[in-house]
Amino acid sequence: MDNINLDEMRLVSLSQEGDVDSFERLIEAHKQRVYNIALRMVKNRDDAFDVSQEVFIRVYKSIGKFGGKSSFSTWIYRITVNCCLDHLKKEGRYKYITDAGEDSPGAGVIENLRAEETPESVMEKSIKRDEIKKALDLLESDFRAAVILRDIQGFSYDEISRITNANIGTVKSRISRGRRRLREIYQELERRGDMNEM
Amino acid sequence: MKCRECLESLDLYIDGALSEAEKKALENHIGECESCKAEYEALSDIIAGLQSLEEEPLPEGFDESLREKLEQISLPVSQTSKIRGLKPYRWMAYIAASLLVLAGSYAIFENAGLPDKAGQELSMKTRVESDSSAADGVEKATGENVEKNSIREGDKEHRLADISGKDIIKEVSASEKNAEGTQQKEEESSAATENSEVADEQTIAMSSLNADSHPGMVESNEVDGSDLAHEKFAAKSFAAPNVVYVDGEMDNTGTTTIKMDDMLKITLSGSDWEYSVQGDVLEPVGAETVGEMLEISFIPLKAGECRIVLAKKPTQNQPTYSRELGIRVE
Repeated sequence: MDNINLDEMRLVSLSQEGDVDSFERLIEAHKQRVYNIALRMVKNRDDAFDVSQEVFIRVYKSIGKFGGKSSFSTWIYRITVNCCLDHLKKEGRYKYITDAGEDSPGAGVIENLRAEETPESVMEKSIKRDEIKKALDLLESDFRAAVILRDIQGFSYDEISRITNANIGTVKSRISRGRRRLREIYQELERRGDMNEM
Repeated sequence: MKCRECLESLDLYIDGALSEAEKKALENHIGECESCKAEYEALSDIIAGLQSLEEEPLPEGFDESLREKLEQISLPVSQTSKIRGLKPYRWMAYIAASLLVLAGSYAIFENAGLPDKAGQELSMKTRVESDSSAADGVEKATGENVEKNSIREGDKEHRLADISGKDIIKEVSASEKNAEGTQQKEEESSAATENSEVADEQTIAMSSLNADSHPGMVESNEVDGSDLAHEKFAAKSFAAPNVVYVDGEMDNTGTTTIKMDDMLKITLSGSDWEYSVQGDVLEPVGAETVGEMLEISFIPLKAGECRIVLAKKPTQNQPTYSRELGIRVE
């Protein structure tokens, strides 16, 4: 993510004066990505719709404070992640990461995961999309954000660091632990055979 | 390579973040170790599963709904005239204005025949002037209208070269000691002394901010030296009740320390504020009016120090109130 370019700066400036057309042009390149981050972070399309609209409204309202110190895209995706986490907290679905990596409140579906089960014994040859979506929805919120940004959206470690305002070490840890956690959840869901009941 | 080392590096390997040597070592290990190979494949499967989730288009009606909501937001009231942040390009004008003021200050010392050392202590100049009770000055700059660069000190007038090539007015006018200015000077003297150079540079920038934002007020100030002194000290007044910290702990130098994981929130009375961050340590992320208070939020970008400049617009009863806050991110 490079620093804000001149065209963006001009659009930011016009948006700061209340020019909605300029603001729409400014966010055009980010709208779909914001929506898709929200879609993977929250439970369904309706929520993703609402959250992503809230993102752009929040961006618009506070664009007067955007100083160009980080790139506009970093800023907008940071607000996206924050809006999603706020939404999850509001819904009581925010799942906290614990230091021990143990189950957190609300993540009861994986409490009986047996570590001795090997990947081969649990996982099928391919990961089905619907199943991974369900597993993703049960992943702790900060892990989920890191995994979505990295593995679905393709942001670099450095970009994720800036978006989530976490240092690189934390980002690497969240991605690594998040992937393994996701795999554990997936395995547990498969073991229980209750994918269809979710 | 041992298994533990391999497992710890798998993510970096998959993400292409290993050096060639590390990559080679890991590949050799995976080629020989079935357990690590299985772990690698399982991890790769999960990532492949995530990557298989297709990007969805925006839902129908998304743009229309957003447009409707945006148009209901009255930015000209809530943002552009009330809580407008500094635009990036404005800083160029402020920096240029600061340079001019410093250059002008230097010229004064030169003309007065003061030793070089005095010139090096430019940061103390404005304070020295006010202390002397014979001269108070104000620096005014705009990024748009510059016709002249002049400095008057007492009966003297010096011409400066336009070092910026931009249109910038700078006037430093001597005046009789201003009672209000003296009082405010006393209030701020202990807090400001330690950071004199930085503080004065920023005060100068602050003056330019006020000038830019409130040209009418500055125009009137140009006429009378005492008003000019007031303008100067308004930028340095430190009547504290307007500012309340929510996060962080302020030390005895007036610097508030927060952690990287913290969000800094500053609550201000009223809503007619402008503010800016000097430095790249904090990023403003929002401003919300809660009743008669304005709450502004900042997220740390990295460890370090910066200053937040706050300015409240003048009203009929109150002059401009300005304040700088030191913030340290650990």
